Amino acid sequence: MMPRKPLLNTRQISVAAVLGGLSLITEAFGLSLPGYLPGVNFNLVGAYLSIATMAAGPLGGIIVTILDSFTSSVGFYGLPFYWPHVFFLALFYKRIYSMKSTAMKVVGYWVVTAVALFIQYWGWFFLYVYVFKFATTIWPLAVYNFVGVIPYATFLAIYALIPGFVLVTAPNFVRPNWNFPYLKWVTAASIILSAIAVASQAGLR
Amino acid sequence: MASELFGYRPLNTFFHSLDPRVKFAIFFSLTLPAVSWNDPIYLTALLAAILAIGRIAKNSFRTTGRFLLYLVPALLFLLVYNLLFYESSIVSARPSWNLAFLFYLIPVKFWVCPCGHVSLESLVYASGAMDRIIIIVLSGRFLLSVTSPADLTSLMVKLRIPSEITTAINVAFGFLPVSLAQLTGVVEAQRARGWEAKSKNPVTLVRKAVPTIVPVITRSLTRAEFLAAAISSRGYGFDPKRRTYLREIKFKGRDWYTFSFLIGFILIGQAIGAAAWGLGWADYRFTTLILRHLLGLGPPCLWHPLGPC
Amino acid sequence: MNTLKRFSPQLGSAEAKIQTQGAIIEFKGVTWRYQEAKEPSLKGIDLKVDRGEVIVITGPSGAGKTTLCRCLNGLIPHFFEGELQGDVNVAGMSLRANDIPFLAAKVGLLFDDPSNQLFNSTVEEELAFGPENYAIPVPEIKLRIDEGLEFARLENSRYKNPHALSGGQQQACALASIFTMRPEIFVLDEPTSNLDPYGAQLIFQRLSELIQKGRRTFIVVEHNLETILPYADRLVVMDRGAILGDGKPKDVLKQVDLMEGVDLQVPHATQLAYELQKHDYAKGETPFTTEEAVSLLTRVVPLLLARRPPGRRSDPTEGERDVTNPLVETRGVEFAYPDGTRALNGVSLKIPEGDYVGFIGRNGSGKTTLVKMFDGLLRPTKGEVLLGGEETASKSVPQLARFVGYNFQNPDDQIFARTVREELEFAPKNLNLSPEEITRAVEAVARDLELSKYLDVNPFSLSQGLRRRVAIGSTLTLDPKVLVVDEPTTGQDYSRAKVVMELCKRLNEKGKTILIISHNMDLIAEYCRYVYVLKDGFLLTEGTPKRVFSQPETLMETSIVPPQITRIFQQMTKPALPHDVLTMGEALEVLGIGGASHGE
Repeated sequence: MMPRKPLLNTRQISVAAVLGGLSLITEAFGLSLPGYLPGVNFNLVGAYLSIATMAAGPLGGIIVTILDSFTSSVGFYGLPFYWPHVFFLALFYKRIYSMKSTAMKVVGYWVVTAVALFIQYWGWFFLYVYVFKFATTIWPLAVYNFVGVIPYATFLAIYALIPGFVLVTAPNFVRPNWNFPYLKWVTAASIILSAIAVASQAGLR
Repeated sequence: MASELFGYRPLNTFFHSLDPRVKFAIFFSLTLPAVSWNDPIYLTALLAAILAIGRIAKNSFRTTGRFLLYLVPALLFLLVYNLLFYESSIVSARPSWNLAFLFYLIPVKFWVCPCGHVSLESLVYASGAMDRIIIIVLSGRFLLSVTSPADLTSLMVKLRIPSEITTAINVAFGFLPVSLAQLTGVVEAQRARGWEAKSKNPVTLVRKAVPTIVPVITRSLTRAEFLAAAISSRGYGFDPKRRTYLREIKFKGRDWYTFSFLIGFILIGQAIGAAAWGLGWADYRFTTLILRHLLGLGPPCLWHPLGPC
Repeated sequence: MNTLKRFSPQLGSAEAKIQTQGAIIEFKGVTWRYQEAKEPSLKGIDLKVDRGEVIVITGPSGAGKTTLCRCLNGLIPHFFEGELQGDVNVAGMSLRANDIPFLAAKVGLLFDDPSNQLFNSTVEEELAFGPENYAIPVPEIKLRIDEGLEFARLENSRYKNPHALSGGQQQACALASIFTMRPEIFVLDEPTSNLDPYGAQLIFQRLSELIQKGRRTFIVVEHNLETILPYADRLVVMDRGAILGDGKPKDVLKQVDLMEGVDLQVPHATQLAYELQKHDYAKGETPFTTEEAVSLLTRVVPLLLARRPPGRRSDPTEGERDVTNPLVETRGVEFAYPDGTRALNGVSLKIPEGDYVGFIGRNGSGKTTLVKMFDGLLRPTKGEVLLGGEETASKSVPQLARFVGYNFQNPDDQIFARTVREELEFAPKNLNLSPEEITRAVEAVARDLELSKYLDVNPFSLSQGLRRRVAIGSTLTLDPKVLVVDEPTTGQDYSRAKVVMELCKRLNEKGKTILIISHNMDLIAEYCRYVYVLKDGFLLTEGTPKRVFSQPETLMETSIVPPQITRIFQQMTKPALPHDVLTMGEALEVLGIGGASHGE
């Protein structure tokens, strides 16, 4: 009987493990600015998640989110809401990496991250308002984050600034030597599911 | 020990001795009702149960209290947010009767939206929301305090999670002391060159973190390369499907009893949650009516809690 | 198990078959170039190893030793990308046609840094990991774990996290985790280079037990030839990707031109024989152990002394040490960690300006804790630290950074910037120096450290040696009076370690006070003017290197072993020789066969 093809090679396992460990430490030590909600701390987990996705593919990013969830205030409930971001970033990352111009790389990375973060936010709104019922309505939360800018800008900085720095100064570390089957479809599915989840509740609250 | 970083303490309590599947079932049996229940009285009872369980698992009240201090900003945010925007919520979340207004959080002349009316209903709802956060956070903390990394790995194996993911998580925990020493080393190295990260602006703070985070990440990625070579050199990947595991978990008598009890509790909890929607029992609105009655704020129709008055 | 050939789409379809009459390892014309390297790391390697042999491989950095090791368990070409020519056969398996897990079943590879190869939460799990991968039944795994724990003397540490062990114990744990896989071939790549002397001793003891058990083949890459050669059947010398010498240790050591031509740390005993041979003594003799050298000198020294008088020794390290106005001073310094562990117990010392001081002792003796107090990274729980006569208690770390430049073991802990210039500017910018001051400082340091042509280069693209220079330079831009260099020799071969010491010497000549923590006693003896020995947080002894290394019994308390040449002279009884000879040059002067300029 032929052994099955590995999902991750040892390099990807190690990258995900090491970065996931860093996110564990970051959460456990409370190395963050206090956020306005549990699980919403301005810590660097987003940076580790992004770099793991860049270096090891979406599964690498997912492993970091699993590890982060052990010490996250909202535990495992928050886990799947990172994934649309992970898939979206993975979908465009190879193209960004292969750009010749450093400036374009940086711009491309920030743009993709900004969009991915925007998508990710709605999943978390769904979690906080419709699942945890921390609040009765989603819209002021959305306004506070997007129109108020500071929370969104801070998270964008976390998700984009440091990984972008690594992409430019040490690109060998984050070369995308990975493959993920049906990435386009998985990304689309995760985004659509988030959208459906939010839309199904939005009319009620 | 590295696992103590995230709260695990190798003790010998009843909860420590349970199968990890049962430990996770405890977590879900505490948090699922918290998510589906609405009533602060029920939620407070659930919170008391968690504190008691935590005490049995030797989590001292003092440590728990210190831990809860970190939640204060989040609790305050929730309180203010709900007080401000409770009125904006639409029908399914708020009662159909006129709210019992208490005071204005924002003076009327500064209104840009119909928000800021503090009512008894909004206070009760907000207290339930705050209870909910505390329950979810403490449940997670309890789970981590009684679950070792070996438990987690064994659980994932039992759930047939692919060995690559299980191995990554196992390695992450095993490598924690190195990662921690790495982080400390880099921070010290940069401090020795006069680096300090102090700023009130969160974006500036992230920028100032670059001199520490970049070496942490590049060193971590370099280490990951060596680590991967070491993992490969120990035969990893020979046959992930048939790989054996030193530690196998099996249900014992106490696991079966506890698990059965928990399943029952979850089912009852969900039934209560459903009753809140369907019948108005165990819903924050019912509690509000009781309070209104006690405070002499009306309405008179106590026997039709969701009906108009 | 051997019938399962792992898919490996990146390999070619050809499966090379090599005749292996008696050889368990065979390299045939092997050339390997890493993907982004310009030059091959292995060039036309031909090597045969018979079953049960113990082969020691030595050579300078970049010789290809580690690359050769990686070829043995399949990391090359299946993990590392590059171009492989030639054939390798290991235990009847072709390297190209068999993936790593198959080769690793036969070949256990131990790396130099234990911290990078321990990744499980307990020692028990670490030992189980290998057998688990091979689907060994659980009862058998448990048996192997017990054997492994016994072998490594870690029975009491079964449930401990491996990283909580000492360095030597960690490496023993890593060795045991290979042991439980029961490979036919053990490959140990510089197993002691990251360990303190005590840890190195531990590993050599475990290794000698393994070797004496027989039945297995050993490939050991090692610089410390004195300790390992007694067990070796063959010595292989490599340089620049090629094998230059291969044969019985004494036969290879006899090739003086080879041994002196390659940048190696040849044992002092052997070097002594080489020098004697130049004066027609000790013909054909190639001792490498202290005992052999003592036996040789016992015969030769009377003849030498009869012919010529002993030379006068020049000794730049002796002389008055003026500590009236010490630049660095500690008074009864104590330090305890929050968990109560006492790292320092009342240490008092005085270091004058311009000194070149070494701190030695086992890991955990308090050396690093002590020097971290000088720049405020740690604060004493009791006692005082003074710099330039002023207490440091009220000064912040940035303020102290202007006085004390601290360099850590790994330069990559500091490097983060896009260019070398930015890296050098980092510290002065943190301290808000003016742009003009920063530019002046950066240019001066770049000139001193020969980094001027790299200023606009990405530091991540530089070699390790250059990165270390950048890291040191980045602390020098504040023009500190004191430079602390924490373990620059750990994990480095002799010549690389010497480069750092030479750099520190140049800086010392320009007026900097140098404080070095190191486990390399040869270099400490050669470069330092004063030595502090710590043990369990106490100052065990201090003095000039001559004074310190003349106390072998005291040093044994902390497992420190003086340089071999010192031990050789200390063990000479007939005739007795001075007990405080530290370097080869000095030794030759005493014997009357060398001048003062004779160095290492």
